[in-house]
This record gives sequence, structure tokens and C-alpha cells, in this order.
Amino acid sequence: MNLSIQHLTKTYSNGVKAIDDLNLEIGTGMFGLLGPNGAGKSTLMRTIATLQFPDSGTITFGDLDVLSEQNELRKCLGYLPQTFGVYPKMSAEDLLDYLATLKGVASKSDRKKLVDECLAITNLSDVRRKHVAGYSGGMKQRFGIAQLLLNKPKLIIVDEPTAGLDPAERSRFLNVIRGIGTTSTVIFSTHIVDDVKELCTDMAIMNKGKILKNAIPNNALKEFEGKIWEGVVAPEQLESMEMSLNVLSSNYNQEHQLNLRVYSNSEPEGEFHLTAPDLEDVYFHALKEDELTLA
Amino acid sequence: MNTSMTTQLVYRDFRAYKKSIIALSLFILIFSMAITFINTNTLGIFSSGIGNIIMVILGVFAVDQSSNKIRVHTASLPVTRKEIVFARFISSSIIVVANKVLHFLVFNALVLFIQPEPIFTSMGLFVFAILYGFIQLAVYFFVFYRLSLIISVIIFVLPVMLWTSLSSSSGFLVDIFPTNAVGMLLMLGFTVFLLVLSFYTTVWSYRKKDL
Repeated sequence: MNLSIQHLTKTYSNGVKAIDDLNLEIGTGMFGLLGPNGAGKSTLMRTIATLQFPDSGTITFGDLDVLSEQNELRKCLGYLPQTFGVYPKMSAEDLLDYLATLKGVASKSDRKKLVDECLAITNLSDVRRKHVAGYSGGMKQRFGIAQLLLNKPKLIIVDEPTAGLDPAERSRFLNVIRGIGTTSTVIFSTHIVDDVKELCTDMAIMNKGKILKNAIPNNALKEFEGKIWEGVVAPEQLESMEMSLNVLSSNYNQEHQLNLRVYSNSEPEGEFHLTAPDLEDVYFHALKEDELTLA
Repeated sequence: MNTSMTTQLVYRDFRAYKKSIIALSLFILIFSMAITFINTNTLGIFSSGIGNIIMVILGVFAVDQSSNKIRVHTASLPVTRKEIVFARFISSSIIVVANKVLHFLVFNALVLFIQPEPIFTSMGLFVFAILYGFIQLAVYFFVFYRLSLIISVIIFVLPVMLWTSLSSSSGFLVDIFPTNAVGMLLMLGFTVFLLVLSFYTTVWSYRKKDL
């Protein structure tokens, strides 16, 4: 099912325009929404999840008008907020059973089967009787996935789920979410480019409430082939390089020199060599273009 | 409104916050009885006892209600905001009534042993206390959802202090209790009106709230 967002605008009471006339089409599969902090990703996620109300615009999911049929959407929605709050003194099993009831699973035996399935998918079966409040950050996020699977959702929204997870937990989490992203529409919001690279079949880059780029990751990389140059410069040269070249990123190496990645149609002056583009180049290029447009 | 959803939300409140509810209720009970009987002024039961019961609601639910983590997730489930607010009204009402009954049972039991002066254990006080509890709830929900947790705490701490100072003049509280059926009915009507008004204004503002 397709999620269609048309001319969506949201301004908070303090005057911040979090979403600015945004248009987006999202189909079945994993959709990555990339953007820096404050780009408006969470506002967009919350608006789709019927937690916030836009000033104008429409959102439809299949035939469903999300803004007027909120409860209907919630029946087929799985939502994992940035930080998943759990109730004190409730085990994973009890909490999932309770949430399954709220999600409309009336039969006790159906609930038990469903809870067992969700715990198995998220590798939490062994700790099913422990209080969720005592889980580690990664386990809590996996529990968050388990709870969103309870109603077999058609639309899944996960808002920056890997922020703060250690590499092992992050990898475990991404494996779980990869498994569920084939049959549903999954919107995965993040500021970590690698998450999108590893998971998503479609993506958009967002900043200041607008979509800067909407593309299939592989196609976006093809667009950048032959245009990304890499070179090593002294730190004091950075300022002059930034003035003359389109510098996308600069990282210190072990010799305390800067590895520069530059976007250019032809070979830049200095010691640069052509290199394979990665999604981070696409991301930084989109943000830079936006900055230049605003300037 | 879906009754089974509301029941599940009420069940959640008691299941998840059972220990906090019991611990806070016992703390308020012991504190109230100590203050009442140390001063040997049974009118203190109103100021330091039943007036404080709202603190159980504030202590247990205020953190949950102001925690974005929990309320955001609850609101993304197939429940309406009206059901969420209604469930909280029901849970809070149950806690208030249960606590008031407990206070009066313990109070009356202690009066038998301690025999303080003046002894004030009328049924009128009990009914007044229950109604006063509902008035507090009505104000709490209105203030909490429209304003903030801090303002609701101030609103409830200040009157408790006021009651405490006023109840030291023994005649004051006796004068304000409705002594006949008409007075009691008027107070009942006022309480129900305030609760209904608070419920609808709370639902109205919570429906429009961005979470």
C-alpha cells in the first residue's frame, strides 16, 4: 500500500516551521528518511502516526484518509517512538499481552501465540519474564519492535531507533527490522547514513521541513559516479579549500592530516584522486546545496 | 466510546502502578493520622488527611502523564483520546474513594483508643470528604491538561496549607459542612457539574494537543 503525503505544513506555536509544504510518495518496503537533528523528521513521523495535527495538507494510506480516519489508521499502524517508554514492574510477556488486547486481539490463546511469535522474532524469548524496565537500551528497542508487530501492521514507523545503541545491538536491531520490511510499508527515520545504506530500498533526505532529495540509494550513487574526489590536505589548508572547492566532508586521519571528499565534475586542483561515491556524499551534497540555495 | 478499551487502560493503571499506589497511599495515611492525633484535634483529619489524598494521584499519574515516552505510544494505539482521558478519570476516582474509605476506617478505629477532643466523626464529614475529593480531581485534570504539572502541584499544596491553618480554629470546618439533605444535594450537584465540565474540557484540549 502506498503512503501519499501532499502539501503538508506544520508550524508550532513558537513559530518554528517544522514541515514546509512537503510532498512524498512511499511504497511497500523500507523507506529511509535521512536528515540532521531538527530537520523535521520526528514531526513528520508523529504527524503520520496521528499524534500531531498539521496546519494543512493531506496524508493518505491506500484508500484511508489518515487525518480524518485516525483510529482506522492506528489499527494497521506499528509505531516505535524515538524512546520507547515502558511501565514499571511489567514483564515483556505481560506488557505484550496487554498491548495486544489494546490492539484488538480479544482471544487469550491468540494473544499467547502472537506474543510468543513476536518474542521469538525479536530474540527476547529467553528474557520474557524479566521486567522490561530493566532491559538494556538495545533490548528495549527490540521489545519496541515486538510490540509494533502485534497487530501485523501494514504501516510501520520507526523514529531514530538506533541512536544510542552499541554496534552489536545496532546490528541485531537492524537484522530484526530487515526481516519485517519486505511485506509492509516501513518508514525508518534516522540521522545515521549507514542505517539507510544497509536497509533501505528507497530514501529521502530532509532538512528544515523540506524534502531535499528523494531517490533509490543505488540510483543516487550512480548519479555521483565520477564526481567524488578524495585527497589529503593539512588542516590549515581546509579553509582555502572550502572557498575554492565543493568540500563535502573532512575527517582527520592518523597522521593528523585531513581526508577531504570533494564533489566536482572535473579533477580539482591539487592531489586528488577519483573515488567511489557513498551515501554520505549524497547526503552532504544535498544539505550543502540546500544551504547554498538559502544563502 | 469503547468500554473494553477503557477497562484495559484502567487495568493498566492498577497493574503497572500497583506498588506506587499502595506505597503513596500508606504514606499519606500514616502521615495524616500522625498529624491528626499528635495535635489531638480530630478536625485535622480534613486538613492533613483527606485533603492530601490528591497527592497520591499527583505522585502516581503526573509523571506518567507528563512522560512523552509513554503517552506518545499509548496515543498511537487504536484508542481514542477520549478513552485515554476517561480511563484516567476512572482510575483516579477509584483511588480517591478507596483512600477516603481507608482514612475513615483507620480514623474511627483510632478515635476509639485515643479519645481525643473534640471528637468529630460524623457521616456528613465523610460524604463531604468524598465530594471534596472529586472536586479536587476535577480541578486537577483541568489544570494538568490545560496548564502544567507544576501549576497543579501548587494549586493542591496551597489549599492544604490553608485548610491546616483554618482547621486550628475548631468551629470553622463544622460551619462549612452541609448539615442537611438540601445542602448535601446542592454540593453533590455542584461536584457532578464540575466533574462533567472538567472531563469535557480535558477531552477537548487533549484531542487538540500535539504529542
